[in-house]
Amino acid sequence: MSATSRLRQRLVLGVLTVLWTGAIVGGLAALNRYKSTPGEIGTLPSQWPQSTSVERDEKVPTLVVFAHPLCPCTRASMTELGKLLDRHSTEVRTVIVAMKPSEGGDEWSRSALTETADRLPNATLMQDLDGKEAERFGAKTSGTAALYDPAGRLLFHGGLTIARGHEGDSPGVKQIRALLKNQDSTTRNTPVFGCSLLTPELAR
Amino acid sequence: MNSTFNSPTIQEWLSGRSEELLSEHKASVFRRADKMFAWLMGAQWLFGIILAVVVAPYAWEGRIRSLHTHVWVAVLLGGALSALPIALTILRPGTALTRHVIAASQMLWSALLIHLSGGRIETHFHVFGSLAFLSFYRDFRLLITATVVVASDHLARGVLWPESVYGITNPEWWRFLEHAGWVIFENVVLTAACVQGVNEMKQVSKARAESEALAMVDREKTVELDAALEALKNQQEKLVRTEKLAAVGQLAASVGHELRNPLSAIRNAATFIAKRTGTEKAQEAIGDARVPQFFTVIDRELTACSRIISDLLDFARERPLSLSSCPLYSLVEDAISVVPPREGVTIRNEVSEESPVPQLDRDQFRQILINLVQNGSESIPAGARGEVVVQCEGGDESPWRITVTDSGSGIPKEIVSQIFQPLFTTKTKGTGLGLAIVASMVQRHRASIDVTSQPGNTQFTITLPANAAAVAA
Amino acid sequence: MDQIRILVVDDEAGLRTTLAANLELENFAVVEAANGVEALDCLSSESFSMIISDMRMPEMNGLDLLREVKQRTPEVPIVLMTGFELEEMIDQAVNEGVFTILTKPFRIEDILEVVRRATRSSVLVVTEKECGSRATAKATLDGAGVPTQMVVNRDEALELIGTGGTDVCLVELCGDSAAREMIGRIRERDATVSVIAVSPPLDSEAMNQMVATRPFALIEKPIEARLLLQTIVRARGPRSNA
Repeated sequence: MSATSRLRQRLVLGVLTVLWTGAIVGGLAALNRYKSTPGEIGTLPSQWPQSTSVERDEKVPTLVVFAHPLCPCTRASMTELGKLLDRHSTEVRTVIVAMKPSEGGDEWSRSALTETADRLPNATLMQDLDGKEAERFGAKTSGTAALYDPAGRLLFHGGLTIARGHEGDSPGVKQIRALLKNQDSTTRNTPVFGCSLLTPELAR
Repeated sequence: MNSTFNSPTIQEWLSGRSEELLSEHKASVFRRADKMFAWLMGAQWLFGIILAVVVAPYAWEGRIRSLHTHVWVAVLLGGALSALPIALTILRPGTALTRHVIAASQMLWSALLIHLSGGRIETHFHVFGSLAFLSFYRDFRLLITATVVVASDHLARGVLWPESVYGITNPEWWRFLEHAGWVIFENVVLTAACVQGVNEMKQVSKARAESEALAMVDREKTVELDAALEALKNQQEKLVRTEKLAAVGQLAASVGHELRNPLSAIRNAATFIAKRTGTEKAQEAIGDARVPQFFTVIDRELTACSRIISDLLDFARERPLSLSSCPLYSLVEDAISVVPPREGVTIRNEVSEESPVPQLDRDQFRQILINLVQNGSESIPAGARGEVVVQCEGGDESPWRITVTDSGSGIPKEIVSQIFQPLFTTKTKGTGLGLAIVASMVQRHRASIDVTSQPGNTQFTITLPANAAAVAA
Repeated sequence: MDQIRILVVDDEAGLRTTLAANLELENFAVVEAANGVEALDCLSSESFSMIISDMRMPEMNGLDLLREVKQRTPEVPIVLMTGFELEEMIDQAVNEGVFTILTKPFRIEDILEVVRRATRSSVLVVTEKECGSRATAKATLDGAGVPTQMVVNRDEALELIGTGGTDVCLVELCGDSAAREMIGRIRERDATVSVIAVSPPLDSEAMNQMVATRPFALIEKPIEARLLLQTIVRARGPRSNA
């Protein structure tokens, strides 16, 4: 191969490498952003809604978690929830509200998520047909968690994960822990990372 | 073994060669590792896609599902991440660019896989596993690249999205160090392994170079030994030949010597009887003219015997030189007078009477001239006319050149180089020693002789060192 | 003229008798002796003009015989016949005054030539007044037992040559270039005389002039005794050997 064509090849490779680096960096940046983009947090009522069929505990706080059974990101939320309940199951009553569309099939009621949820200690799995309960609570994103005290006062609402589908210590879980220990903390809300619970045409 | 390689040139060669071997070895290690990583990149891409599809195939908005971003990311970003490394291993295997790109890419794959697996703790092990794989290159600089990539990724995310790295929004300052510490720990161990690996390669290269040098030296020695053996064999053969010749010579000489007395007596007796039967009265009584004729025959043949014996004895005996001033003209005249005349052959002495006088052994040089002139005379075909001419030039400042030229039929090219060998003759009669005697006598005078020959002109030239030099010697 | 008497000594009968017979054909008186002792016996009772002896004989070889003869009758020339002798023996014979050496087999003409020379054998040494005490040729020859006569006067030399009693003439030169023509004149006088010129080293022109006078041999001073004696022996041998 002649010297000039070799030089040309080198140049081409050099340029390609630089472009590639840019593409990768861009791609990773985009991925990170996507992962860090929370879903709509929604506004939850500060007082337990009357209309809900979710049962509230009288003695201990109740933690309501809204989940889309097929959302993969919410699996991380479940994992975090599991970690939380491993330590504090007796101090809190958990209800997992799993959405199911009326025309949805079996995969909605028997997904990996629901099975995980079932195994959580001191937790109940509740089917939420067409997301009516979620609507009542104003939850828009899968993985939204709301902690109400026995009196029905909203203590915390937000996400249990730090990023989309990302396990790891999250400020949300930390705060719930603190609240359960009756230690006050400054943060009230954390971002929720998860799929939208609402179908686009149902979005407000 | 090192004592064999004392000379600086060998040392230089050794260090050069072991560098060469080391580079070759390193290059093959790089290429091997490149190939391994190419496969790994491909496998990771496949794995990433499978992971995405298994873990998070769809994203949901209520009832509507769409292909999860993870799948896109796995296919596109994963594909891109693997594409350049694989391309480089095909186009530029073994180069530094290739392996550094691979190092960067591999660490970014860790990041990607962690994302695709949803931050699973176990996936973080990929980072440390990747660092270990990179040490297959035995190039510790790759660990630097990898660490820089990981650190940059950490830093960037730590600055922009701290929660994704440490799990909390405001990590403690030492969290970074905790991560860094683990990475540094592994890097230190792997760097040591790489460096040691390279050192071992250096040792191996050095040892290989030395063994190559040894083989070379060995080969050279073998070649030299073979050559020496060959030379020795030739010398031995020559010696055996010479000894044989000498033994034969001695035998011939002693036989010749013994023959001298009987031949003398025969000659004397024949002369007497020839004279007695040569008177007129006796011839009348005998009545046969062949009687006196045959006495001539006897005389002639006895002369021939005498000559043969002289040849043998001259050849066998090495007479030391007794030098005296020998005017060439009279010496040549002398020699010519002894050579039997032949019909049609004229022998001319064209040596100038004024030519310088050399120091020669008179007897031996006379013999040389006799042999050469007789040779020349006999080379003229029977019945033809021809001449033999003796000339001379030089002597005072330049060497003497004494030439004997004949107009005979010439010496064929193939045998010209052999004519001075003993026992070599083209004549049907004769000992074949004449020219060999000439050659050895010439040599003893520290002169040289050579011959040029074409049909019709053959010239023998004796070259004697010049007077000036001879006197000084 | 008195018949020339020759003593032939050889232990091999074939050689001895045939040689004697050939000499007798030439009218020489020949006496045969089969060995050295017999030869000395003959010598003590009779006188001879010359002796021809073989070199290799049992009990007393030719060299020993030579020595004995030189002691008893030094003026009698001895010719030795040789087949193939050691160089040293021949050298010694030359140094001790042998007349000449004949190589076997020789032709009868050769021996006759030698006999003719031997009958008038004496070496005439001609020197120049200039040489004076530097004349060394005679001393060398005397030491070897070679009968010599020395003259200084050129004319005297020519006369002596004219009488025919000389076979070899040594002309010893010490520098005078005119003396070179002496050689030419000697040869004119008697061409059968072998002239040996003895002179100091010459330059090439002088050398050429010398050579032009056709001496038998040219010897440079300082005289190497061996060379001188060899040259004389050779001059006295048959021309085909010279």
